[in-house]
Amino acid sequence: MNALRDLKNFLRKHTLKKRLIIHFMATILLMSVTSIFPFYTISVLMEEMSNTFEMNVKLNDLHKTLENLNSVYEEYLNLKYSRSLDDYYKYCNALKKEADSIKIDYSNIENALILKDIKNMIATYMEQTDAAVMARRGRDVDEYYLYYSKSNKIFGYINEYIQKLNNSLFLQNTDRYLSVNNRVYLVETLNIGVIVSVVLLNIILMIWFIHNITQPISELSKAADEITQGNYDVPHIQVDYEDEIGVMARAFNRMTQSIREYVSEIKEKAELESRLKQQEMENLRIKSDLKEAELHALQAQINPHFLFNTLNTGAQLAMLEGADRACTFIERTAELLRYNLRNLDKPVTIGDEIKNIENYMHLLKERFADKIEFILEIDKSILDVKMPSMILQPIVENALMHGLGDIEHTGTIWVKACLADSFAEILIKDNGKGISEERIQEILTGKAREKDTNKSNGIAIHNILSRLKIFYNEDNIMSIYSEIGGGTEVVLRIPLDYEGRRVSNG
Amino acid sequence: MKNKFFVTFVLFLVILILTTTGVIFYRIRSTLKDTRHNTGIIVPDQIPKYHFAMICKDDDAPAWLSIKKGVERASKEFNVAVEFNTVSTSNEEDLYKYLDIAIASKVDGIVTYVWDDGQTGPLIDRAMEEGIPVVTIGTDAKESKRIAYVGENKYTSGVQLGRMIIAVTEKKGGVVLLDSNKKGNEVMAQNLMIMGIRDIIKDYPDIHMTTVEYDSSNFLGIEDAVSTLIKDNPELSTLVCTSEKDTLAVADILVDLNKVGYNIIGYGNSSELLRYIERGVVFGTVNVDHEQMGYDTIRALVDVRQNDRISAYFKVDSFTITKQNVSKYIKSGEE
Repeated sequence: MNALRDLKNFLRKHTLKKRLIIHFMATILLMSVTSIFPFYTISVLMEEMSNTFEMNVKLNDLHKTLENLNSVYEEYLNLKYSRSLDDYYKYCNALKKEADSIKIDYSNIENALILKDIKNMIATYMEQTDAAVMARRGRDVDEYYLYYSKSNKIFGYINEYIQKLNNSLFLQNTDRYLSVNNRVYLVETLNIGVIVSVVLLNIILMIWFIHNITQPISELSKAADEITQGNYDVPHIQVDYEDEIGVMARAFNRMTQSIREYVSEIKEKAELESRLKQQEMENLRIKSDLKEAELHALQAQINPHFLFNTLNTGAQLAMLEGADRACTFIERTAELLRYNLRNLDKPVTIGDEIKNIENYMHLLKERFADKIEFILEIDKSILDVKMPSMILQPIVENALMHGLGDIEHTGTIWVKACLADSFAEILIKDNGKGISEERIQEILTGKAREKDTNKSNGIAIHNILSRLKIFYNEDNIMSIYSEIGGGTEVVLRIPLDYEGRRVSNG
Repeated sequence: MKNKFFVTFVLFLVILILTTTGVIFYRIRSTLKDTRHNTGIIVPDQIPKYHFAMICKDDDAPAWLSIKKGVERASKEFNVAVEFNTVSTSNEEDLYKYLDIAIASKVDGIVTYVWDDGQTGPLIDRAMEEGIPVVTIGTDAKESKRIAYVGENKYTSGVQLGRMIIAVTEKKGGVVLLDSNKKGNEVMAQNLMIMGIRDIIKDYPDIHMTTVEYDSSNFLGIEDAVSTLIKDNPELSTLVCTSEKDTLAVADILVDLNKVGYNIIGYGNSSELLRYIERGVVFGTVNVDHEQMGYDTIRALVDVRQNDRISAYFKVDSFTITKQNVSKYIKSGEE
């Protein structure tokens, strides 16, 4: 297991090319070993066997040459043919060569010693035959006969020893053959086993290698496929190798990561843009609302300065003529008019707004006498609180027009302004016919606006609400409570801590 | 994980098979190399330094086996090979032949048994002329140019036999000396031994010793001789043998005939003889350390090869084994 881990560590650090080469080399090596090993074992055994027989062959050759030599030697001694003498020398040389060619192999000392004996005896034999031949040539009959008989004896000894060695070799070879025979069969069987198991091992190794190499690739391709289908949330691909595939996998991981980041960035941007657009829309609406308010204000004061001056002149005339009520009436009308001539963008105080509705109410009272009652309850501490202009008067006008317009009894309008927690609460209440809950919702959400513009030239409640919301940047600023026949109550909650930032924008 | 386990398993299998094959293969090779066949050559474990030839006789086989043991010991110690040619008694021509072969084979040295000065001497001289040192063993060829003789003092052995005769017969009675018909130098050796015996017992007139000759070349010779002896000499109490082979044969015959009342005095220290001594079948034997003799011959040849000059006479002392000291030899024999 350790070796396998080491191998893996080793492979991890190399390129795909190297890894592939190593894998294939390992496979080839294993296959070679399996094919060479049996071949080697069998061939070595065969060689060993043939070596044992080689000696027999050589000995037989030696024996044959010796026989030939002996026969020509005897022939020469008997008949003294010169041809025989030539043959004798020829065979002498041959015998010497053959004897020399037999290497003494000391792996079997007994055989080596016998062989050595044989070689030495051949040398002795040839000494004797040479001496005999010399004596024969010198016609020394006694001497050549003596040498002949000596050489003849040695010839016999040599033959005996060759026979002895041959026999011994034969017995040894038989023994070897018998003892080796069964085992050779076993070796062959085991060799087949080696081949089969190495083939198995090779197949497993190949599968293992291929799996190791292709596994990350298939993971990569799967992940790439998912990305093309728009799923950027692919899992991180883990590759242990530091080869090309490892590089690819890491690059891929980085790529998916950056794609993910990029996509989320784009989403954020789009969100921001849509918010900006909304803001712009809001600003536009503020502008349009103001324009509408201004328009209505203008409608109400055709040449307002002329009218204001005229009214002031009227008031002075009334005073001169001693008509105090008329004078006050005209003065209030003029004041109302002047309030409307102000720069509408600038915020006013609650006190200003209250003053405005007082003027308005005075005029209405003069006009409708006892038909309308007007009750004002103001907490003096909140008079300096800032608020947008043209808010309260339209609400009162609304209450008068819609709430008290068609009723029989005396209409009453309450205006209460008091301090409540962190804001100034301004309450405008009538005891008119009231409106339905649906209508309230319509008014608050602005749906009623389109319907009403035709009927009325007053400033719609929605316009007021919209301006308040934008001015204070707060939704929960106006509430309307009403029931049919039970009057309507509009409550404004004006924040006390307003600093007037919105006005410069709007 | 499973995959890895499988790989490891197959790898293990391959290694196992490879190892087994290797072991078997190695054993086959060593078998091929190791097969030895008895060629009669004693070899050391390494390549021998010298190649000697030894010619001996199977006449007194147990003694020669001991000698061979000594030769084997020396062979290992001095790293020499010895061609051990045993010639049967009935075919004495072979003795000449093997000596002749040894000379023709130009061996580094010859150890030979001398059966006849007249025939062996010239061959020994020829070997010496060829530069082959010759050491004689058992019997000597005094007139030859042999460089050394290794052997026992036959006369001393005879004296020891004589002393045992006196001890066993209580100085009276009939004693028969079984004397195989020998030839050549053996006769001299035999006579020396008999002389030793006679020199001892001549002071005891009540001991009547007769010598019976028989044909040692024939196995039945001694059996016939012993049966006849027992039948013809009722007063016979003691049988004396001069060789180990004879001693064993006489003891066997007497046991076979169920005649255990005889004293047997003999020669040798084979384990069978020792057992006979222990059981009282054989009274005692004279011994020579034959193993030492074999060892000395080889040592002499190695010495002469390396130092040129050696002592010309290696005498091996003889000693007796009786029931008193037999246990010592049985133990050492079993070792």
